[in-house]
Amino acid sequence: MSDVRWSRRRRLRPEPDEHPEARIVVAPARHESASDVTVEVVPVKSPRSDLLTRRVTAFPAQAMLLLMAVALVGAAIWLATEEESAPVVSPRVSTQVRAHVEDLLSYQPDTVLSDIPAESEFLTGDFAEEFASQFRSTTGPDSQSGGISADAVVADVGVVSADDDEVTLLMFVNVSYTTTDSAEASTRGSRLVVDARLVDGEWRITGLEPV
Amino acid sequence: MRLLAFPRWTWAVVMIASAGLVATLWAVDGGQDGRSPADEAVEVARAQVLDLTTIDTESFEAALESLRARSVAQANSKLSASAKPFAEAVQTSLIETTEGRIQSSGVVSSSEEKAVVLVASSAKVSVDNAEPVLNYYRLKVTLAKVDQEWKVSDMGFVS
Repeated sequence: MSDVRWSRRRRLRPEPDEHPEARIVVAPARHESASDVTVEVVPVKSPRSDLLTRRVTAFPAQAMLLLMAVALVGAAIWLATEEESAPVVSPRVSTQVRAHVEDLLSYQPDTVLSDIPAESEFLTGDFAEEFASQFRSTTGPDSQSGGISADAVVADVGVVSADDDEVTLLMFVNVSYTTTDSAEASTRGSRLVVDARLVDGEWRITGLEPV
Repeated sequence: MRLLAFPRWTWAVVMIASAGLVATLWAVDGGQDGRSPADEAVEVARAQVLDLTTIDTESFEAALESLRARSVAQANSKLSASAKPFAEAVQTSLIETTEGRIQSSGVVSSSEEKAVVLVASSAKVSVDNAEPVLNYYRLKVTLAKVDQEWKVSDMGFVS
């Protein structure tokens, strides 16, 4: 090998255009002395073919990374174009809850207690029991003893927050009170925050707080 | 270990996409603070109601200026007319308003260009150093989008 001159090796080096996938092998020829060498050009895998191989073998992982990149870009585009939507409540929801509130706050002396079971159907959770207790202990007896009637009308409704099965509404409610002693009604305006939940396809009140 | 053998361009794509996502999240979060356009309208409505219901002798001019700044041009003349009784009252009496608060607010309706908001507020009002009286207010505020800003186009007490 030592007899092989560098100039010769350079001369025999294949031109890249001729054999792009070749390399020079310099080795002692068989059955010859160590000083005799043969020089041959053998094809080898070019970097390009190597890349191709790597592409094939690494494809699943690369595909995973590419999918991640596409997902990230997609998420970025979605976030950029998505506009936060205002709390949307269908007219049915506000109409239903509004009607329940008007029914709950309206009463007559002769039916104020007997209406409790039917009105409790509009309610759910702890509030159902609180409402029934309040009407049995205070509102009902006061109405019966004083001949007090109440007529509630919701003047306006706004959505504080909403999702698929829960809603919080701000209601401006006017309640007109009359007694058997006086034909003249006294009207009281209130601001109520009403919580409602969708239970078995029906909106039921879970809280009702004056603010 | 195979993951480490990826071509550099693959990592570059992932890094650029990640940077894009982070930048977008920052822009969305920073720009809108996670709020909807209706939330921005509600914020303006609440500020307007608080200024209106806490007007007193000391703050009258500044409050009126703030109210005008949040209103559309067409509403300013109506606002001036509405404020006239306040102007006369604060000139003839010492009105002091304290503890102005917004209790709640809700969206009646909203679109890209218009929103209607209910606001419940309260404030203690004292006239000529008398005992302060706690007043509760119910207001409905109509807003319009003008040059990308929500402006009050109408406001009134709900009876």
